[in-house]
Amino acid sequence: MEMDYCRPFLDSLKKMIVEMANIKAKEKKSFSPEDKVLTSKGVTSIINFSGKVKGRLVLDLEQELAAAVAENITGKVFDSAKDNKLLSAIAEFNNIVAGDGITSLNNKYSLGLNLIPPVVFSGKGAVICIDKMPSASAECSTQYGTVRINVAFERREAYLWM
Amino acid sequence: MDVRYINPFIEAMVTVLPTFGITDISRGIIEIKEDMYVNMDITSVLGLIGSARGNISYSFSEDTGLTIASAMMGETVKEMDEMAWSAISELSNQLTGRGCKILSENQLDTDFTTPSVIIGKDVQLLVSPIQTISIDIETSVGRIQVNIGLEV
Repeated sequence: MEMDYCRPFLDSLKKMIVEMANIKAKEKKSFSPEDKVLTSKGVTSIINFSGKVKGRLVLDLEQELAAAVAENITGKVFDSAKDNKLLSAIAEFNNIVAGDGITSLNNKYSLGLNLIPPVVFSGKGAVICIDKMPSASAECSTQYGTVRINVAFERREAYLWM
Repeated sequence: MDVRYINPFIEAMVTVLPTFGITDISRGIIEIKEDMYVNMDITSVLGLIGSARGNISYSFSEDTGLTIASAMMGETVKEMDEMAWSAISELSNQLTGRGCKILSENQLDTDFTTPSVIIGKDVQLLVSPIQTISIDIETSVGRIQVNIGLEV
């Protein structure tokens, strides 16, 4: 697992959550290897990207934090974490964090990464199982709860000899 | 959405599922949705990139997922443990790989990402914010719902 590839996403998360939602996030736990199974904290968004390497970014937010982010982005109040507009706002937030992160990686390592549209779900206790790609997680705390960021990379075999 | 991007994935189901002893495959309800919401017990999602960009998901009830995992592993799988979700992950990998191969044979080169399997009751899942085709595939082990949301 290339830890150097993880950091830009955490930097983007901390930057974008202030810029988009006016919420400050403090790093609570540094990146460390993650299990194959993640248990959702409440609202989870997965975004894949592909280029010279393939990878995936997961943002996993506690429900209160997801609601605060979505409310600050959209200006609407949400009664349920399953509200479609809340889920869309979190997906868009993940899209922007991932976009900023891969731009840093592309500039630094010329990886040619492109984003695939995000997937988002709500359901506390739901699990996300990811085989075949090693991943690492870090965690940030905010006044509304915590957010976990999980980054995975799979090097394409065709590029290993290059 | 261009039908050239849909048929290869249906064809893949007809080709790949019987290799695991899953038979009686027929196409059920097809719906066009403005966005892709799924609320079944198990969903495997893969990203597609290349001539088309988006997501494809395969959703099952827990019973169907366990039956498929049992068929793939050659032994009875009673709970959705690592062996079971690995089997679901591998099935969706093979289905999408086969679909992408057919796309490539039609000069529509498309690559796909590693599957993410989401398991949970009462999960509201938004698989794509773009227009989506939802196809129910009826099989001998139950219904598999395939959702395809692509920007072409």
